[in-house]
Amino acid sequence: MLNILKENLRQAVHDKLLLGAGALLVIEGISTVAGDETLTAATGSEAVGGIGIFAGALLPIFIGVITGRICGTDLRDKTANYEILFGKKRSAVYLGRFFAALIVSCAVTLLVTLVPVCFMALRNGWGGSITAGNALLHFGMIFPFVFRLAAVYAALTFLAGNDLVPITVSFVGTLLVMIASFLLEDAGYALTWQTAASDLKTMLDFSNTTEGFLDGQDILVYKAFLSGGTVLRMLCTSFGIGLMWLAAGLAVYRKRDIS
Amino acid sequence: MSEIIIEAKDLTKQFKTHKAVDSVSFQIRQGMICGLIGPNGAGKTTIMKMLGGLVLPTSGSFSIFGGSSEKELAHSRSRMSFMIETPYVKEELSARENLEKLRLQKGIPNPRRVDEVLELVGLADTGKKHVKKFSLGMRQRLGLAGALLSKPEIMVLDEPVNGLDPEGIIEIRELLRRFNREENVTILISSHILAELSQLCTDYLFIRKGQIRQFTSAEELHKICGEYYHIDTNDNAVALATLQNKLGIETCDVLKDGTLRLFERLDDLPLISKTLYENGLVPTTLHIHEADLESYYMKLVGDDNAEHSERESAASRS
Repeated sequence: MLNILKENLRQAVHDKLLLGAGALLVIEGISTVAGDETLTAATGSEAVGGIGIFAGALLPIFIGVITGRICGTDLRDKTANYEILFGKKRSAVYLGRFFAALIVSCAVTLLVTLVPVCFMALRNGWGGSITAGNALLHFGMIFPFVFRLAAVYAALTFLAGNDLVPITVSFVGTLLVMIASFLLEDAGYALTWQTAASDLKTMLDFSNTTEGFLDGQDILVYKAFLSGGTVLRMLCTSFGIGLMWLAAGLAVYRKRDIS
Repeated sequence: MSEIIIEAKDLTKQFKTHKAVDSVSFQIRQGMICGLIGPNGAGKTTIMKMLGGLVLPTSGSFSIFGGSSEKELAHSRSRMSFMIETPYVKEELSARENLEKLRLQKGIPNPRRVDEVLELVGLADTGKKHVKKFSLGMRQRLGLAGALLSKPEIMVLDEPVNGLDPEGIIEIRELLRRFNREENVTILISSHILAELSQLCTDYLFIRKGQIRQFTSAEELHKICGEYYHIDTNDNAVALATLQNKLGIETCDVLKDGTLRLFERLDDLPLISKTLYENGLVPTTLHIHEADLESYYMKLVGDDNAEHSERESAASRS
């Protein structure tokens, strides 16, 4: 499995589509917080709010693209079949690719979240909108969702046998969840169906604020407290559902004939 | 007798619409070059895919190097190489880049191995040319190069000479013979053209509609349908002894009617005639029976239309 993981990471690093998409995401993230007139003087802590909204909306799509691309390209052109012929177990073929997709997704997530925030912190200081520890906790809680999303998209990729299906589902699915949440909020309901995308958005939603005063200036303070119970629930949900999708996808892949 | 390294017992594969492999049993021993021969759709590729782990059997079992569990089969496959259907290559890469990728996937530490196999299959001078610009024959050579990369103990090759010109076929045949002879590589090779394999294989598995029709050695097959002299004299027992003692003949069958079939010295008709005559024997029949592999093949694995036509022709002659 390790050889498969290494080879797929090597391919990902040379994949022009993935590199371009990742770079675009990071640049877009920086411009979101640095280019916005209201945030030009934003501190690092204030940028956490801006990047949170951005990442919450776009990360689910990019995780779908990354996972679909890493898991699906070799399935589509059938070079993954060689690994089985070489004596790799199907579980190694599946999990090697899944973990490669997970590592790349986590790396992109780190870049998208930390780079813009660090950029603003270096420019304007950290500020007082949220403590660094709390910001790290919020950003850290993204990773269980990344695991869950990657597991879903990996299962879809291996079921479909190509990269196009999960990429399409990531776009359409994320859009549908966003539309559903907007419509339900307008109607006065909350979206309680906890998809990974909606939970991710909740984790990165810093719209609940209050006013504060720091160093002689009015500041925006994010109400971003995460209770232990919330953290535990989200961890269990993400890893539990992620593992279920991983197991289901692997079980189907192990039993199917490969053309 | 050499060790059995691949054994199948009642191997069956039922797809939704048809049964591709029907209770197939066979044993392949170390050092064999076994030809799996049958028409298109006979089940050859499905058998190879089952051995390779791409297709799962519906029932029955098989073992490779004595192991039949998933873990044991995976380990056995690491000692094998496969070339099944169209070789899996990245079209946007060159031959070297494709083999380098395969080398890394297989965990082969020696990077020079790529150059060695490119040289072996005649693709060393393709440079940076992308595979999408390769001819079918070049793609087949690249597939074979991939199969040779890991110096396997068993090679499973599905119609490897498909698309090659006659020179290419001879080259590949010689290469496989060399691997078999020098490195004791066991080869399972499929084709729907018996003539392609007739000069290579030590054994033949004839398959039709998913069922094994016959498993025979090359020696037996050539006896049945190869070239031979049909000899009848005034005393066939003496004729047989004369040929054995005077000419050192070893392969000569006596048929039920007493006549002889001689499988040696096929280019030496004058010497055979002279020897018989000098020993007081009068040949009443002495003619060469041409090799008729095709007829035998059609009889074994030909389709129903061919069989029906044959029966009709036989009926009209009688």
